[in-house]
Amino acid sequence: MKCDSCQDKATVFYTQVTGGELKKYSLCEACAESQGITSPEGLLMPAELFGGKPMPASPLDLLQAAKQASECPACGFTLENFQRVGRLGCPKCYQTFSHEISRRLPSLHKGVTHTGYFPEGLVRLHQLKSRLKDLHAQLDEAVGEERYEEAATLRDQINELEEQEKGLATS
Amino acid sequence: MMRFATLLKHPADWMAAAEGAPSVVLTSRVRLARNLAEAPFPGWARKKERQAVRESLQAKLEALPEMKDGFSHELSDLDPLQKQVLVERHLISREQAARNEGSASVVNRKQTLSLMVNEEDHLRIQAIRPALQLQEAYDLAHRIDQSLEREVDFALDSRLGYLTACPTNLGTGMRASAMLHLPALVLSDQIGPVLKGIGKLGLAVRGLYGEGTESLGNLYQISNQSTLGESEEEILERLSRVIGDVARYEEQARQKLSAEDEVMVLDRIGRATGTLSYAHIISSKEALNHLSMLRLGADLGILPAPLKGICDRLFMETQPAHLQWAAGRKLGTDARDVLRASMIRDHLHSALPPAIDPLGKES
Repeated sequence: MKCDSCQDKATVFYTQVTGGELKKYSLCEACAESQGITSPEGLLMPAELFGGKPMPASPLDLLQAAKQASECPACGFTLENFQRVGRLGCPKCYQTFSHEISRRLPSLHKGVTHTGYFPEGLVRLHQLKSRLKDLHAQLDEAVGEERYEEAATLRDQINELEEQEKGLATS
Repeated sequence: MMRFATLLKHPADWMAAAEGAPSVVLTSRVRLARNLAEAPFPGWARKKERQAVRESLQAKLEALPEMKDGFSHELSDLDPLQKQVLVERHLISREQAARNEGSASVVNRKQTLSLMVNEEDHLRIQAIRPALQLQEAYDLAHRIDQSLEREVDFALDSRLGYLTACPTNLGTGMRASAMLHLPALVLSDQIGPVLKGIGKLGLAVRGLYGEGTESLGNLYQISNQSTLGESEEEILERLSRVIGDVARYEEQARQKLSAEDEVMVLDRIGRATGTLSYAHIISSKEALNHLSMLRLGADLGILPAPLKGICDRLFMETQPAHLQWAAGRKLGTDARDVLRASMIRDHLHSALPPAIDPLGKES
């Protein structure tokens, strides 16, 4: 059997159950390792590996999230601390303990998404980043389909936006 | 740099509302919670990390044009009494008063802006305005926030907004509140349902003084609870609308009481005036409750109008730490009760006509 990612010989087999649907993936040693599947911290399957579709959370993901969330890598604050005092250790804890926090938010607030003030420069930065992501995808597609003229135009646009991005990030 | 004594010599411009202005709402406050993206929150940070955040932030705050010639001190430089005075003035929080090294208080000259460094969050920007002016208070705080964000990398998430030490402040990081004087709703036993109604709207309400549900001086604070999922404007608009409604209920209750229970109202105000004019020993609780009646009397036109401003100042200046600061030394409860009575008598003496019947009514 060949690797889903690079066509080498597959030695790692990964089975995912999503909403009752069974999916099997086969990967070679190198691809599996580069995706972190064979490491103990692994199973962070990037969406790109499977046709760009975001993967729904599987029980494995959830298990992994629960495991990861026991201590914040940035500040050492633990989930147990949070459960005891109701406060967090540092801004990065919001990522580390995102499951536990998401669970609590609906009972604390009117909504779960910020709709208020956002610094202007940052809004533009976010818009730029999302636009750049689209352009990169289009560029890959154009190159893949050998539409080089279009790819060159896209490349120019990307360069221009990346310059703007640099300007915003340092201002 | 402004000294503590200078700060205290001047009453804040929001302490006494303008005469003739609608007076059910005493003050409006807005505070924004902000944190540095790359530092642990104050409650979890090591002393060294806290100090580093304090140093860098305090210098930036002092440099703001709005804070020119203001008050700026590390909490460890202040003695317990000074801290308590700042708490009574709402310039620092109770929580911050318990902190020392690594925590700082920066207040502008007019005491309309109070910036707390390393309270529960790295920075809390608080603005205070007299009467119902939540939007104006927000604008003041927002301007400081915008000046700072050019120099400081605040912890911000595209989905969750401003990240705070406690998830209850997440999103806008904004807590807006107003202080209301509601004596007629209390006297007419309508306060219970009104408070319950406010709670049902997802807003928090509590007595300004006193423990738990007890309220001294009929002073209540109404604030937003939710900080995520609504914009600042939506929160302020909803809060202002509810506060405006409560103020109108209070006005209606006053009219109804004056029309239907005039003698009872006169009696309460008269007794309060008598006690405060002649007492020599008075507790904080008794003083607050009588001052509340005096303020109502001034609002209803039964007592001279300037009394209202005097009551608003006395609400604060008869608090334990303010009294001790005025005396220049530490005082026990008994000595405070004596000084409080004397201070109130002095103030009323100048504002009340020296009549045997201060209500000017023939019996």
